[in-house]
Amino acid sequence: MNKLLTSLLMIGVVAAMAGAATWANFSDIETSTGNTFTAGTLDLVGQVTQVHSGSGTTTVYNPGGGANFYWTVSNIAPGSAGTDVWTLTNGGSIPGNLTIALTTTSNENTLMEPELALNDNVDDGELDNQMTFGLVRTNPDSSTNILVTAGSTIAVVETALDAEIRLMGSGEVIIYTLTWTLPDITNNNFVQSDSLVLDINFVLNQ
Amino acid sequence: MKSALTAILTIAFVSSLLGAGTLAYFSDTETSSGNTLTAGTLDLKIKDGGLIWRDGIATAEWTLSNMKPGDSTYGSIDFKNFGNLYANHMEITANYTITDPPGPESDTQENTPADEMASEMVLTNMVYAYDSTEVDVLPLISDENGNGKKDLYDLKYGGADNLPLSQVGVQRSSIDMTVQLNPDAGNNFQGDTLNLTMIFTMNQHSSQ
Repeated sequence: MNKLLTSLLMIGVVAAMAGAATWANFSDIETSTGNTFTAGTLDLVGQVTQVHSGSGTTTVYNPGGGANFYWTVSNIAPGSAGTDVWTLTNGGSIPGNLTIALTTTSNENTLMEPELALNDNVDDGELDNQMTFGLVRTNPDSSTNILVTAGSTIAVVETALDAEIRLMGSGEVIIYTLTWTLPDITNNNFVQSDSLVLDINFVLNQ
Repeated sequence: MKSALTAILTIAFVSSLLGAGTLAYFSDTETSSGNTLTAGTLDLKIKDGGLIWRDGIATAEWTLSNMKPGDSTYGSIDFKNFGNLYANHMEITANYTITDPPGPESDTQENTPADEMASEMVLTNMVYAYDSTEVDVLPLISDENGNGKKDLYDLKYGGADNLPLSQVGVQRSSIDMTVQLNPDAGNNFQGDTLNLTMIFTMNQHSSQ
């Protein structure tokens, strides 16, 4: 009985000693807090300017962007010419692909007597046939590319813009410069009071 | 049957995930719509003393019936630009045809050329007026047939160009013209009729 009691005590002592050793081991805890996930931004900023020479009156709406930014030129005549500049900036923090869609509308508006004298009709305007255009892209590194040679029709400009896919890094700027003229040609009277409308969507996709 | 249904459900679920992912990519669109180029207008209307401005006058302004050498007729036409562009200048020319019926016996030339009769229709007075300024037009017409006079032949082939217009306010002007059958015209023109069309052109540019 004594032997049994002694054995149990020994086991208890050894166990207690072993336990004391375990609790004394070194330990260190590090934390990694503040890990965050912040979404980047993709913010296309557009601006526009318009200047012309010859007959006409220019008005520019929202030139700094923030809303539909566009221009109008009224009362142009053969000999009138102008330059429109769209400046596009990737104001976000991540790169995106810029694409462009241009649609044009040619309006006859009022049929003037000089137009009637040429047997003009109300079907559509002729300004898109008589006006000529050129288009240049200025890249983020300030290099330029002639997308449409001056003297081309608006249909050529439409095709060129619709084909555009340009990668824009954060803060990068791409500029499109459209030049136009209404040349002095035979039967200019066809276009009296006619109008040509350019609707453009600039889209920056991630 | 059960495994087929599971496959279909799985495909549908994956598809919906793909769709959601595509729509969720970042995108920003800026619009520049309504950029408009509009042509102006240049619309000349004329009148001959009445109140109504017209695109051409069918009523004769210069008429001489049973005229004889030395007879003359006077007429006046007003011009106004109804367009919204300023024209640079006016230009006046003429066109004509001749009617030379057979006879009378005293008509010493049948089938008289129109140019020949027009050369005998002499412009004795032609004054263009705009604002408060009058311009003597005759010196501006070249003597195309070299007969020492300014006549309808010269007006047709040379014309009177670069007649000025006011560049402020409403553009209005007028022409006063007197035509005389040359006192020295011979019997060649007896019974003949010269049908005259006056042509007035308002031009946008100085090069025209």
